[in-house]
Amino acid sequence: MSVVRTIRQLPRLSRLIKAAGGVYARTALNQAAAAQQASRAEHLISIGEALVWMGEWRGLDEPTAADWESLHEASAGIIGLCDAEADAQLLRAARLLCEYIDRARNGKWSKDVGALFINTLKAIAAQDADQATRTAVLGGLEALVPQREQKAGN
Amino acid sequence: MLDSSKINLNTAKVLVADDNENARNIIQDMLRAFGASDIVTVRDGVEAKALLARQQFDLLITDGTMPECDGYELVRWLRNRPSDEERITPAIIISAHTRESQVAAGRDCGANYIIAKPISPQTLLERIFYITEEARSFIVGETYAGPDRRWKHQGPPASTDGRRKGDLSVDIGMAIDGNLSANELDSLVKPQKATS
Repeated sequence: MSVVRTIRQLPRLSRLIKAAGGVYARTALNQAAAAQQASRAEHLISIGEALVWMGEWRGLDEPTAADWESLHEASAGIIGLCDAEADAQLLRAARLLCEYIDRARNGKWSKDVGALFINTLKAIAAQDADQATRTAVLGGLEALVPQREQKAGN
Repeated sequence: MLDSSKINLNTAKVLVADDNENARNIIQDMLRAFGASDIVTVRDGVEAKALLARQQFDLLITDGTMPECDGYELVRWLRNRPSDEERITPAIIISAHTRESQVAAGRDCGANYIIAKPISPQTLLERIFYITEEARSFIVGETYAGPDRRWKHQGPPASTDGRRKGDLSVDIGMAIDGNLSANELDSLVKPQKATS
């Protein structure tokens, strides 16, 4: 029978966090929201750069496993920069792309499906797209991916 | 966590590991907004290990996916350090997308919490509160070291509303259909003969 040892000691953080002074949770959250707002423009630029890079990726003749890995990384980067509410559709599309790349690992990726994702991400992120268009484009992606995957033999 | 709860991270030493500069900055900005000033950032798990081996940190926040040594391996390594003080260092993993192959690693690495990106200040602050307030034991076994995973029934820490809106009780109303008979229930659980 394996032996399990229990450590009842609390981490130092438990003591430090309760020390006199500090800030109220509401103040801390307001400050964090303000910091996020201040970085929003910078994040949108980084998302734009990632989409430009993806556009170049779309031009690859035969993406290798490393290329797909890089696309996953770029998509994961977009996820990290999205605002959960304002960029809900972009976030969902980027998550779906990561899931697709993971699902089709072992070399079952289809460049057509990859291009479909990239086109969708670009359409959703377009500055002139309104919420209704974004939602419709995302709906189209969700409907098309299974068909394209089936066609590609996954 | 209540709005009036107080948090003091002035003297806490926090290590942030993420290979993405934007992600490091986002976490760092949030921690500063929470009052932390002693924040060290590194680009990968190897660098984080080297620092953790030399000095004691009060909180580790790491990305799940990093080249060479990912966040799951980093936390697993931390949980197997020789001294208990090091082992119990609170660790939060942040992940943009958890691959199927990482699900088990996420469950078994011993992290206190795994948070999905994009990180919201509310979620991060709540998790920090949970870590410091929860009464979970830290266990060390042959195959697992970390906070006890058998804690579901203890509910959220005292003085909190719950983790998700869905945790709150809801009224589902009266049954619409009549109850199934005993025979009907039996037929649902009885093994059926395969038809050839």
